[in-house]
Amino acid sequence: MRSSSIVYLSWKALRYRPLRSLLLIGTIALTLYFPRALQEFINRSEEVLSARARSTPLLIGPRGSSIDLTLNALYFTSQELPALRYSSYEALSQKNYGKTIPIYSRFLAGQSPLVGTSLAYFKLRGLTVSTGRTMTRLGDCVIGANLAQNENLQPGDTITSSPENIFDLAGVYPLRMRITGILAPNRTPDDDAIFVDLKSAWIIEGLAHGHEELSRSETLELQRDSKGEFLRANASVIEFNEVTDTNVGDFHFHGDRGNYPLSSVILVPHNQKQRALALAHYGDPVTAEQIVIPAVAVEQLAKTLFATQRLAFTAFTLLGIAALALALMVFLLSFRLREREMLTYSKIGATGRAVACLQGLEVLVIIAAATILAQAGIVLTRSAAQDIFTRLIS
Amino acid sequence: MLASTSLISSCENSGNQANPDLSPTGKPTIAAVNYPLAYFAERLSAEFAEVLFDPSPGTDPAYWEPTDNQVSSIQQADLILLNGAGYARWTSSRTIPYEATVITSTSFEDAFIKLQDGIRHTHQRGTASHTHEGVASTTWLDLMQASAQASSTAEALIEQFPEHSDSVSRELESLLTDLGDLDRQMRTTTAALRGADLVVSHPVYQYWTRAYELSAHSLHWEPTQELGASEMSELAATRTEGASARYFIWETQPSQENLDKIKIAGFINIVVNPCGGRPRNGDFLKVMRENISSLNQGIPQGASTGAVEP
Repeated sequence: MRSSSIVYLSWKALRYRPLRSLLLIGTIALTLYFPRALQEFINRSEEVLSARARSTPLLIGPRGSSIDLTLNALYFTSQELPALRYSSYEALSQKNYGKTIPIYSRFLAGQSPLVGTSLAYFKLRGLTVSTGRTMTRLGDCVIGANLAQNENLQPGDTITSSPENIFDLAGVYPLRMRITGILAPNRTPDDDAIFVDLKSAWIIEGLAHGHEELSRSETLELQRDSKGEFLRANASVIEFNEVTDTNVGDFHFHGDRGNYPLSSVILVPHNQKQRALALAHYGDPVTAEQIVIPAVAVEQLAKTLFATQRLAFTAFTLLGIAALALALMVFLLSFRLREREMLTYSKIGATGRAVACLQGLEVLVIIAAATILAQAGIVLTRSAAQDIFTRLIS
Repeated sequence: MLASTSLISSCENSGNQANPDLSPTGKPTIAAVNYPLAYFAERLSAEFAEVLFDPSPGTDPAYWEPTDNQVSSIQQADLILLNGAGYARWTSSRTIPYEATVITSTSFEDAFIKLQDGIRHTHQRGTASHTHEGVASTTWLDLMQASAQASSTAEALIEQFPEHSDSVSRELESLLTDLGDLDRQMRTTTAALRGADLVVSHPVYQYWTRAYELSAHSLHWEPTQELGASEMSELAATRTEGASARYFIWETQPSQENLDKIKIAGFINIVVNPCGGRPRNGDFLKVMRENISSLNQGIPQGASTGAVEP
């Protein structure tokens, strides 16, 4: 029997039972795909985690889980730790340990994290404004590339912060923010975030507000407390829920700014001495704040991921062996069912070797197709791993 | 002694920071919120930096509202000098880089003069009441405080541009000498005003009166506004019986009509320009010298006439 005949007959046999062939290809492809894809995903995730952590030299925040602190500062996850006082940031800034970048990542606008920070954050992350310009006043924001694309937002549009608790009717008004710029994509959580001046985040917190002048007698009620008489603005006094060129001067802050909240402070020492001094200062258990090396915190997280990976890898391997055994059984049963067909080939002159080649080629085609499919899936997983991981962790 | 720097954020040592944001001339930029700080920065940085101070002459920088483009320019500055004491409210409603900001009055913030003219109020039932009170902000009219602000500016410049530390230190010494001389002259000149009836046209002289041991009644008049009967009644209410002389301090040269009305009311007109904005002619030192000269011209009139009766 000629080789071309063997190929032709194998192809015909596979096409004769397409469902069986496709099931076998799919089963084998998934068996090959899952362990490798998991490995790729974990490896890529670790690279992504490490890269962002390495670009964040040191992190200062309230005492508690270093991983929670790191994930909040790097991936804008929900703030699990208590707030850091602004006075701590001021104290740190005066110590000359390096550049200090405040982060207040607590609020959301829809599903997007809203991050109060300073302009230095953009320099640290290498973020540039691709359309529009950066924020210039209270209530301005710049948004990540993904968010702009997904929500079809442009500079000049507005976006509104979400109340933390929809049942808190007496709570802080949501702030409608002016989008002044769209950031160029950098394939990090920054692409899905909204960035505002720290002071704007404090407006959302309710620590600053703007309202019409309290000069009209009909808006005020005279009241008395232990400190004497004071005026209470009644419900007719309108609090502004949007900062405009007209009312920007009416926004004002209340209370001691030293008590205002932050999530953490990114510290970028300019040299090893500053780094060592900062580590020594905040390493003292007496200090109210902790210092975290994000790369180390991420390493701990990666170890957990690796442990999970090993467990999943073992499970997938066992499942894979079972699936391959099933596939082998399907092949053997299939050959058993086709014994009469093979006998016919022998009777019309096919050698035993040719019949074996015929059956072997069918198996080979299925395995090759499954391998190609699995490899394509792995390549896709590798390219999408960064985005998938970023979305999962955020 | 160099004053301690920023309350919000100290300027970081940029000895290792390459490629600072440069102005079109290739020089680093220093932004200032008022003219005295701009003048100090210009003197101290000599030739190596550009000083950005946008409010045009005649504009009061305390109430200046920058445009978005002007804020963007300020954001590019390597150093932003704030006066502190709540001066220039725009700085709390605009986005400026915290890490480049230096508050020059931090070293004497404990000596700020509190203003108690706010209304205590609350917005929602059950929330704490508060007062929008502030502090006097024309800090540099006490020339020793101006020296402290100059020192703070120098310290920030040295931290930001360590390669120019020698020239900055040299210029600071010269500037402090000038300010010290002015302070001595001002102290000597104003000694004659102690115990006199002193009325100031605007509430910006709090540090000046405290530094030079004066007592003044403050009004809220503009030099060019028309003075009617109510204003003259307000002025009459400030008179103290038995005062040796009565002086009226203007921020800038008032109209001749206003000069005449004040004179008829029994006060001697004197101009003491706070120089918050860039002067049309001369510089900060020249304006302060003119203030001393104006005082030197006015005070003898009071001494010669005694208590002037209208």
